Amino acid sequence: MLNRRTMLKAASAAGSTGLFVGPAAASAPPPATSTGEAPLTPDELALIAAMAEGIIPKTDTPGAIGAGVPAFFRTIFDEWFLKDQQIAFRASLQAYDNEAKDRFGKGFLACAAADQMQLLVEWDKKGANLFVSPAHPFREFKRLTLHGYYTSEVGQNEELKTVMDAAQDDPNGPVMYGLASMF
Amino acid sequence: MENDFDAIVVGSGISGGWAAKELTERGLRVLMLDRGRMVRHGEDYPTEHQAPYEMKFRGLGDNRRNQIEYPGRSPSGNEGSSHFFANMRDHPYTTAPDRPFKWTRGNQVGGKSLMWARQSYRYAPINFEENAIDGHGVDWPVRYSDIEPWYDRVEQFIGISGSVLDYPTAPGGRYFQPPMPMNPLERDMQARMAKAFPDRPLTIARLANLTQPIGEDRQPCHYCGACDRGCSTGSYFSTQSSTLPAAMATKRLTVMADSIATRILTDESGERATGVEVMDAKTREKRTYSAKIVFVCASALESVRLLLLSANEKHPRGLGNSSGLVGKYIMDHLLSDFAMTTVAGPPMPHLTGGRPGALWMPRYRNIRGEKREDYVRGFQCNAVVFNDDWQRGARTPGIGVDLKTKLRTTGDWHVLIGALCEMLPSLGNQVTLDTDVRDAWGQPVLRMDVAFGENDLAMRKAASDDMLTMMKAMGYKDVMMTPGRPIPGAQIHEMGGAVMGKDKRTSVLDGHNRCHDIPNLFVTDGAAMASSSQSNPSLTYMAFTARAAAFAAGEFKAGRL
Repeated sequence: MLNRRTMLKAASAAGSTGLFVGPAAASAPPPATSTGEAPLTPDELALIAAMAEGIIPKTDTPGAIGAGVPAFFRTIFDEWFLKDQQIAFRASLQAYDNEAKDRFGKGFLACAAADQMQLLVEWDKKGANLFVSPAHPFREFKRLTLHGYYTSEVGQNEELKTVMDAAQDDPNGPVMYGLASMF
Repeated sequence: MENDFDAIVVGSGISGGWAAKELTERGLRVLMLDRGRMVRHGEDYPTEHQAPYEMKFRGLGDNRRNQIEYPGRSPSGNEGSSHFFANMRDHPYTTAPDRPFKWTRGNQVGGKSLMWARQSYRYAPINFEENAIDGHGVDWPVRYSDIEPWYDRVEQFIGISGSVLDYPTAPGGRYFQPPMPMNPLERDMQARMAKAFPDRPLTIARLANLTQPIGEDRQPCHYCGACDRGCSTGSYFSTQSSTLPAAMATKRLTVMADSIATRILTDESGERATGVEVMDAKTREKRTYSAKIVFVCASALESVRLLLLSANEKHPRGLGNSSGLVGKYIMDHLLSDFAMTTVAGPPMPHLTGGRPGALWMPRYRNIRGEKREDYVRGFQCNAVVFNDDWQRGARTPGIGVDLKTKLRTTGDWHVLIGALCEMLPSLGNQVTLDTDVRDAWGQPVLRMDVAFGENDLAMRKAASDDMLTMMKAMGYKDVMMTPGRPIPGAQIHEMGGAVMGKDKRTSVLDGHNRCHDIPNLFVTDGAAMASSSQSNPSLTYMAFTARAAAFAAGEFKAGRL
């Protein structure tokens, strides 16, 4: 079974792959627009890292921190979120920390590991509730954590060990890639 | 460069590429224009085979850029393919009040052939007869037997993998490559369908993706799963992989990218097209190119727009529009609600790719003497059995080691089936020029005035009911319906606007895709379709284009054009 790396090597050897954006590639995007919102602070990033690592911890493979999830959040915050999303996200970080202070008398980062886990489990339950609108912000936090982790090099190659060729040699045969081209 | 050609082809996508190939192979010197940039095969597929971590937003797309380029609507394409889609900022259009329309375009050499969904079905014999039978739209000037040899020619040349069926709405397949495999749960679904409904054949989609090589430059599909980024192994049909190399090999083709056709020109009598006025998309300078034949293959609605923009003294309502029907009978398809359930199945490896198509079942309604009372015509079905990947983690509670362990294996399997419904040709569904709004090059845009009609919605409801009934009859439990609200244009099968017919008073084009009013002007893309059928239409555009080009070349050689 080919994995992605051998596939790329094969394609490069054939001189037929276009892995890198060349001068004739896509038309130039418009300049990145700044929303005027300040970037994430080191304190905010530390909180993000601790929460993300709680969601996907280090085991026999790296966890969220080892896979660069905090940096992914920084990219999303600085270059992807719209201004209202930035404001809401920043407020949610403050709210997580405030709740830790209310419950345990100290900020999330200073809490004992068991207390941190208790908070995360409670937030996760709230985030998973589909019957409240707007959803608890932890749902989006968890979604971005999982996205940042499983699309990372660590997530793809070490954790999931993804294969590229849709398991042509697998007795289960190839399956669909999402549903984008079903119709 | 020279300014005079035997033929000019406006557009380089699925239809334009075929026009260029057929005309050059028959000896004509051809200029092919595209308003968008050059895309070189292989070299200009910058995201091909990129892993998610090689993309800045890991496949989530550029959210801020999308807000600018697609204000008020969802963007076209994804982070790996957005560079092949025309945005709304430079290419706006307007809609009639309360009549939304989604228009998706690919403005580059190759057009949407680079990112089409590649499902390739013929119109069935009945599709060419129903306009005459039930009186909707205008009677096709051709029948299936007229187009059949051209379907054969196209299927053989582009390469289609799929199953041959002995079924009245699934003709074709003499030159098919072996079908792609189905997974065990799909084979089980196929067997369940055969047992519950012996007269409804469920099988793998017919795809313009190869399972066998064609020559040296087109290799079988390697299942990387992201066709819409371009394919340097030529494993699916695109202009770049298929028709363009054939046309270039004749040394009679000139390709001009970044060249916007702004007007088709006619002589003083108004009875002959003499060439095309072209604006350089970068410098905005205009030049004129002359030819004895003009093929308009700009994609259905852009072709209509060009005819309307070409109005002159002799053709005050637009070229070929003595009937007043240019821009009328706009169609698309509409999806039914989907029926879906969860089934047990084996875990799978985590895939970065996958098979490029799903399952298909040809139209089974209103054929073989059945006559439904609630709607005329019919729908085809698509189905798939797929399994959940790590993204399910965001939808269910759980964190920590337990979550990580769970997501290491793939999740539940899901069975899904839905229908693609025919949309009737209706005079009230039209596009016109909106001179109040201009695109980035100062050209008036199109105003869409299109909505689904009573028959369309009645069929959709009946098809949705059929999906649920079939799932239950196949023995699936806990079937859920996923309701949708289709929008015209959203299936990206927009067609009509310059329909073929026998009578110049009731149609724009004749049986050879030639303007009734201007015999050396041809329109061969989706604009020409007199009905939408139940099937994905690109293969039919190719067949009509090849047929029209052969006819035009014959007339040219006989000195009649």
